Amino acid sequence: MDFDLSIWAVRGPYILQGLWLTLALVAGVLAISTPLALAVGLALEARSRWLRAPATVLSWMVRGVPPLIILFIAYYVLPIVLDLRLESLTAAIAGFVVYNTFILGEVVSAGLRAVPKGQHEAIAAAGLPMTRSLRRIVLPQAMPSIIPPYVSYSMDMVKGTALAGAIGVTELVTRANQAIVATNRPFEILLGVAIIYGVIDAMLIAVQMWSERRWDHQGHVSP
Amino acid sequence: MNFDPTLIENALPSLLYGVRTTIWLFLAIMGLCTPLALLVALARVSRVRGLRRAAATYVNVIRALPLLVILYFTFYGLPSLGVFVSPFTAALVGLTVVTTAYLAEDLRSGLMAVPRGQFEAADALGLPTWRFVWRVLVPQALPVMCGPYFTRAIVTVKATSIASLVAVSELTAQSMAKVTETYRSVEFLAFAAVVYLLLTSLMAILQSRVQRRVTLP
Amino acid sequence: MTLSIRKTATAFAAALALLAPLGAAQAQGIDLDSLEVSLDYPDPWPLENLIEEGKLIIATTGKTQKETFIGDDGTLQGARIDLWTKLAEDLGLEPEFVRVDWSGVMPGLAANRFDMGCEGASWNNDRLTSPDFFLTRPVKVAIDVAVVKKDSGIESLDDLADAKLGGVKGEMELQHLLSTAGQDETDALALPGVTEARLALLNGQIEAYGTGIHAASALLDGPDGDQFKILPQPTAVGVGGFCVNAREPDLLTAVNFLMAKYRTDGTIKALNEKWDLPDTSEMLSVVGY
Repeated sequence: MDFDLSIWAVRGPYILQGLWLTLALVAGVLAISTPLALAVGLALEARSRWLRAPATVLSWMVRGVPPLIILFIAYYVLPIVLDLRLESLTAAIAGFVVYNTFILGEVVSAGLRAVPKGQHEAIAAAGLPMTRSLRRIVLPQAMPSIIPPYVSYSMDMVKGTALAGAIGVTELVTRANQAIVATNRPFEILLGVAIIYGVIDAMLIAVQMWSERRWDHQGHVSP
Repeated sequence: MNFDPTLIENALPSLLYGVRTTIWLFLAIMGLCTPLALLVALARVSRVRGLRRAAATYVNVIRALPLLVILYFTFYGLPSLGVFVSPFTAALVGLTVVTTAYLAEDLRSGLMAVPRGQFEAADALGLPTWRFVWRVLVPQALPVMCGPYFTRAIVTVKATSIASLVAVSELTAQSMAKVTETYRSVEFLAFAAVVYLLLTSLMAILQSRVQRRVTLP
Repeated sequence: MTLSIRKTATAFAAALALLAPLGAAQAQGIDLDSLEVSLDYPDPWPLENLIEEGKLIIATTGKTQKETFIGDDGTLQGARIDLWTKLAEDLGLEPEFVRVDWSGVMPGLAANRFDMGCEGASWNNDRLTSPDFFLTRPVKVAIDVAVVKKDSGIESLDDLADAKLGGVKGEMELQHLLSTAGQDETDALALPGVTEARLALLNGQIEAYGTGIHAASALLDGPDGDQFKILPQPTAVGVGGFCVNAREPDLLTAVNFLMAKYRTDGTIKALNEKWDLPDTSEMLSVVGY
């Protein structure tokens, strides 16, 4: 099999136009779902049953269904049920935000669980206001446990955006696949796609390393 | 939208074949991944710099590579070099390599939650590394690892659908085949969604059981 | 390959020409042979149920060579794109193509997102009776074939019994190959798309690839195409058309009318020639279209 990367000279511009959609998806979804995930994580660990129960049930349902189905609901079911006709990109962002919020919400909830219970009691006893104690005491301690899985799932999500092709978002992989069918050159095109994803993910890994250094209060085993 | 349950009834044998394949693939992946990921996570917090570096490289490189591309090259690329892999093996190996990297990162977050003072205390007491790991580190990290572990398992159940790329007839593949054959979508997509929800619910039930048992005092 | 199809088509046309003089040339004293038959149609065609007024929204994968694909310049093109564009223009509408994965086409028709979809849906009982969409008049005779490698030693359908078979998952073409060879679904390699099926055939992961004559001809014209050949006997013959949103019976009538017109005025044939596709449109009269 011959390997001819010059195919990118012809097909590159078209495929790379999809990169902007991919990046818009990634940025939009991360920006919206991060604060929502924090809220869901807190709700999952809340003392009040009225917060915990709905969060737990929603989390079970949303995490349990394949993301493609959630996208289909956003794009194909909402027009019928709610007469809400979202554009492809909006529907994709909405669908991924819902899915990611609960995936990341579980990550936050697990991180909160890593903070020793005694501290919550101490905070309550000291009468510190909720938001301040969260920001100053609980979250900083939870961060080392939150960051690695948070970045992992974000990297997962970056590649998951390819699913948006099913609802009309012609992002990177959708365009790459169209080029593959037209040229019969899957390996050359996929190699390029892998490199592009690698660069996006490398940026996320850099964020992870930076924030781990910042939040590293406990460190690892090394002397 | 019209919903015709008899369609599912007629397609049941091939759909159930897909369900079986999904379950076997999932169990095989988790069976291989769990010990491997724990080892990688431990290597990530090890005091041996070389081990730490190697583990970090593996985790970061694999997480940055799209699984789609790895599977494509192993299944459709290798044969031109004379290496043939069966569809199930290709999917199993690809998914295991990738899930191990992600799971290792999830488990490491649990190990990070164990206060550093304990490492020093173990050192001071001259506790052998493996004893420390199994008796001190892992038991304390378990309650924190539990949530991310099961979330990863739930994500992996659905991630098995990528095996259809290399011609494994799992649940998503069989459902989509029926959509193509009959041009009816709602019935088969709903079937697949319900089965995935059932499988992940089993995981969620298991998670709450385990979590209750391992909660820190 | 394309030659043999054209030969068959010409043979059918010749047979029809022979039959014509035998029919009644006279009825009630009117000379039927001298009659000029043509049909009038409303222009613009009033369509009440379009999703968006003035627009014909068509879902396409853009992943079928020669029919609907992305060209080097990044635009959507192919025989189907040309036909749909003409169809929309003749209806006084502006065509809007939505590029979705195949998995999204059917849900989109059911959810009233698209007016039309399907590049060439082969008719089968499930599809004909689906309440989610209408099937239009056929645009082609769907000829299903087996593609093999030239050096495989497989010369006819009889050699397929023990061969490793494959095709695109869920497609009728794969099922027709399996039933012809007397094999079970579980023995076959069901691949996710045409590119993968081509690679599997090239790699020897499958020995015969069940597909339609259009896809097969694109395969032979593509890279490494000289390594492949099409077995002379087809595995099945049927017809294929487009899908129309089930909420739009008036659009179905209009599309059917125009498709009949394009069949008789040679538009479909001309497009097939332009895109170097095997033309089967003239054979459609055999089944009354």
